[in-house]
Amino acid sequence: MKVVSVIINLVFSLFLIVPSVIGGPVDSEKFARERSEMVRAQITRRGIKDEKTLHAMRTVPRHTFVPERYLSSAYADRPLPIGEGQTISQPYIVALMTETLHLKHTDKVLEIGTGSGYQAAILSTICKKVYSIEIIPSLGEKAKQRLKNLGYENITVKIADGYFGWEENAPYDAIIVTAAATHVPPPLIKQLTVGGRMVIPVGGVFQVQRLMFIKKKQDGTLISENICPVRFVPLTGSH
Amino acid sequence: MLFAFLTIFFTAFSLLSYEILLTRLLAIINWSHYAYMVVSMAMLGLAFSGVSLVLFPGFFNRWRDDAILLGCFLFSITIPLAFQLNQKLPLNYLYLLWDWRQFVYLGLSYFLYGTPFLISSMILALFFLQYPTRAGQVYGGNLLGSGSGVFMAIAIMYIIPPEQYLAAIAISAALAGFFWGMHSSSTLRKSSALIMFALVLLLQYHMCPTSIVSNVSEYKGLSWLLRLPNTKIVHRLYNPLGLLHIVEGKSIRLAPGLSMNFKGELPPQRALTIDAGSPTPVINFDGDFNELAFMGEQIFSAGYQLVETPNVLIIGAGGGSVVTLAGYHKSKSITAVEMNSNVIRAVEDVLGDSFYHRYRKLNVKLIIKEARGYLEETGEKFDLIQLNPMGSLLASASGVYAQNEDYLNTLEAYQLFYRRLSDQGIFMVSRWLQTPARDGIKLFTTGFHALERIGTKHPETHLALIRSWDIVMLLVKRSPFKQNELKTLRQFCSMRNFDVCYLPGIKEDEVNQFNKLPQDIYYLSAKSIIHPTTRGEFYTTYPFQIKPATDDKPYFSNFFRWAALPHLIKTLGREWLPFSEYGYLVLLATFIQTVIIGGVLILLPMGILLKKDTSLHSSFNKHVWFYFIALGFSYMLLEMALIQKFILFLHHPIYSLSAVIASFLLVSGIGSLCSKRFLQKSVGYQIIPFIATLIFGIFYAFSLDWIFAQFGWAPLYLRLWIAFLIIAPLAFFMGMPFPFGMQRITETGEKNTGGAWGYNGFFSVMGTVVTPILAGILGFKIVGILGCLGYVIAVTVWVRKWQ
Repeated sequence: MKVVSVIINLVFSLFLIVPSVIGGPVDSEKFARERSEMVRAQITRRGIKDEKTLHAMRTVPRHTFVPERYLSSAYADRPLPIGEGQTISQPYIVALMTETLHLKHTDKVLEIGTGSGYQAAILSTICKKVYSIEIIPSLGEKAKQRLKNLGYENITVKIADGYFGWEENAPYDAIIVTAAATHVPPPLIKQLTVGGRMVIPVGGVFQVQRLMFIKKKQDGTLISENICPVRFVPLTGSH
Repeated sequence: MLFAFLTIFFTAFSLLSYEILLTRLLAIINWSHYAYMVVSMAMLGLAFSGVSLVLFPGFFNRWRDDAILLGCFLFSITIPLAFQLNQKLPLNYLYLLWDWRQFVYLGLSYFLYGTPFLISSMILALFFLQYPTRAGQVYGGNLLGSGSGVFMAIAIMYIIPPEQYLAAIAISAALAGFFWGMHSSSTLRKSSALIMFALVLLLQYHMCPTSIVSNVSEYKGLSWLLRLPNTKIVHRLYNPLGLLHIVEGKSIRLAPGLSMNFKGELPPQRALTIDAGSPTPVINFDGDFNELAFMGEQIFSAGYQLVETPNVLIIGAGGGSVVTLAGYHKSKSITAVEMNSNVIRAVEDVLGDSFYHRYRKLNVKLIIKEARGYLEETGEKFDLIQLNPMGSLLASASGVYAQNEDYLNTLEAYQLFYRRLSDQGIFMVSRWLQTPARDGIKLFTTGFHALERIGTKHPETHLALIRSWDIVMLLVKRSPFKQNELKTLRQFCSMRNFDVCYLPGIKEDEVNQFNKLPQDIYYLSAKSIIHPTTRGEFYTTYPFQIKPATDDKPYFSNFFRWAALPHLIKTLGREWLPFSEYGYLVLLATFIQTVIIGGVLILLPMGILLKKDTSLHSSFNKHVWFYFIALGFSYMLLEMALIQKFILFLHHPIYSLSAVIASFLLVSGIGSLCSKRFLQKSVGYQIIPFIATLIFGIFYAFSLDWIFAQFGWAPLYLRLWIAFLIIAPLAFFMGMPFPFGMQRITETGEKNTGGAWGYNGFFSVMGTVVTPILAGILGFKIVGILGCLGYVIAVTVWVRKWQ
């Protein structure tokens, strides 16, 4: 069985290596150019206007958050797999979620679902403090280390069940939920400050279809809004 | 000849088992629509075998005996090997649109899975060369083996877990080799066969997967659950209806349709997955309804606000949460219909000890049956009929079920539900709220037109459509909604931040209050649908297919419109698959791939060969093409249309698939064995099979619904027999034209055996791939008639060219 296994692995290594090699070498200057082009072509062109968001998208090196085999696609207009069934969202979705939160420099933000850490890094360039929770230990540890190496000191990551939020640091001015949820966790609503904003992307892996924007009103009640980032064929019928 | 016959039988037996069990395995570890695509492509290996025989005739003629022997064992070994190698591929179907490397992996995947098909098919084709004058017997053995293989595949799903499927098929394939060795007079070949058989048995132990769970895509529900901390599988059950897992863990919290105003805690849950798909909650319920306060805050409680202590019918008991919901609302009686007995076992027996025997304690009347079948035979009326929202939600997830027949969401089904409602009764059905809107609108059109068909004067007074931030729900009332009921419904919604999209007499300023959409498209659509003057234009201009599904086109989840295709192609990979019609796209992609791959691997080499080899060219007549192409395409068109149509009668795709395929193959096999008798007689006798196929085919296209209605009362085993009896005469005659053609090729000295086999195989795969696309557009009746047309072409060729 060992011989069979070795042969299988050899053959497949070959198949896996060839496409990666064809991908070609990359350097940081190239990435900077790609990042600038990403912001121009994918983000501003689609209507993102918030300067703070655009600055963050121009600054954070997205390529340091993607797995090595996807380096050449780091700034492409698509989500990328990061393992464990998770993805790093499409750049436009990251920008849209960030803009939707109407963040200020003084804001304290809670992120549920650290993933690669990219969204947290974007938030941290705008806000005072970012708390991020990841439920999958392997992802959380990697993200924690990565953010530390990159010098994002105003981000704190913990590995825990994000459903309960992070009560010790509550209330939060904004909460961003990047993990799949069938309902809005009541503890998160509690931890949102009055006037606070929450954003949740809704849809399957690789196919984010809409964002839910929730605002906590002065009386503690909530209103939600569907933000549809998808441009689709307009309805031409008379209704 | 006995051992030769057994070799044919076991090769065909293993081939069909492999096709069915591989589809099941791939549906578990990936998704059913990708399984369909991969297996359809892999089956092109069948067609390529014919080309190989034409390309290397000398080799196969010289080494035929050894090639068959070696082929059987290679077939056996490649079955688990192809699967194992595939698991090493970093293929991500969801990433196909963006990463060109995925196409390389996909091609490799096709090649690997196709290899066993290619080898087994070559073995069968070699038998036609080995016994040129016994085409009927070879074809008969092939069909009998195939038919038995289908039965075997279904039986295996009851007996052994998915991990062991491949080992079972591999051993049966090795048996074919063993019999061929016994057939030989050479001692060397006999002993080689024995050694290889022993070797295969030994290898199976090492090569078959040890756990199916480790092979499941990381993007499927079960994998997601198992990544949560401290979650584990506590139980699993399997049968042909699905592989069921119960997962336990503190982080499992599923509550779709829950009001954002709910501030309490959810009770602990376990999760149930079928085929490793999206999880459904199994709520921990110890008999204390106070723990279940969240249920009153779910949108699914809407109907219970309007009917006090109702008699409830739950269609699809699932994880039991909807049944518990009925208990929570103090229902007078609860009837739950569930097809899959394992689901009941999992919730009641396996989890019962720790989770309270909810069905027993709540006095639930459990019916292990398909819902429509049950409702057809029962005379009982219900105050509330609820289609289990979890079942519908799974089906509406991202359009992946576009190609799946759904006979619970057709006009005919809604009419039936309506007839089983008491005077003040309500029927409730829900879907995920999708953007762009489509499911919810289709629910409304289905409800509206079902009421119209029944003869309701003002259908708009019987309907209500409400939505939370994630769920849209339709309520259909037997009698018109009363003002006080509408008031109650409005209150229920406003207290929980649910929006009303349509109520009789609704005003524009009532809509879009809580979960704001750019415009309330549900309200606007409902308004257009209820007015006859705007309805037609709305249907033609809405970018999705939102007209109701019917029993003839039972594809509720297919929202694809051909008019939207240019936009879809233009934005492919750049937008977030806005049309989300993965399922239908996969169908189209499979069709395109079949044409391209089949063209390159089969038609092109055949064309080149025909140009080069003048002896072959002179013997290769166009009528041979037409004859075998028409037969391959039409046979599969009829068979596939009947498989999909019989789901309505047999109530589950797996029963329909096995009953129809097995009946077709077994009876066609008998027809094939009898073909020589017809062939020896005059042309008048020879055309009987073609004419009979036409008559039966057209008769069934128009009468099956009526036949099904007459026997809807029958238990499953009886319905399986009735299905066999319906199919048998058609299949018997459909089994004759192919051996007729093969026999005639041999008699006329044409060298086209391999070509005929190849073309027939290629167009059989084409027929399989095209049927669901055609059925989605034209309906099953027309597809059946198109299938019959192929036999008109075949009989024309037979009479004009081969007489």
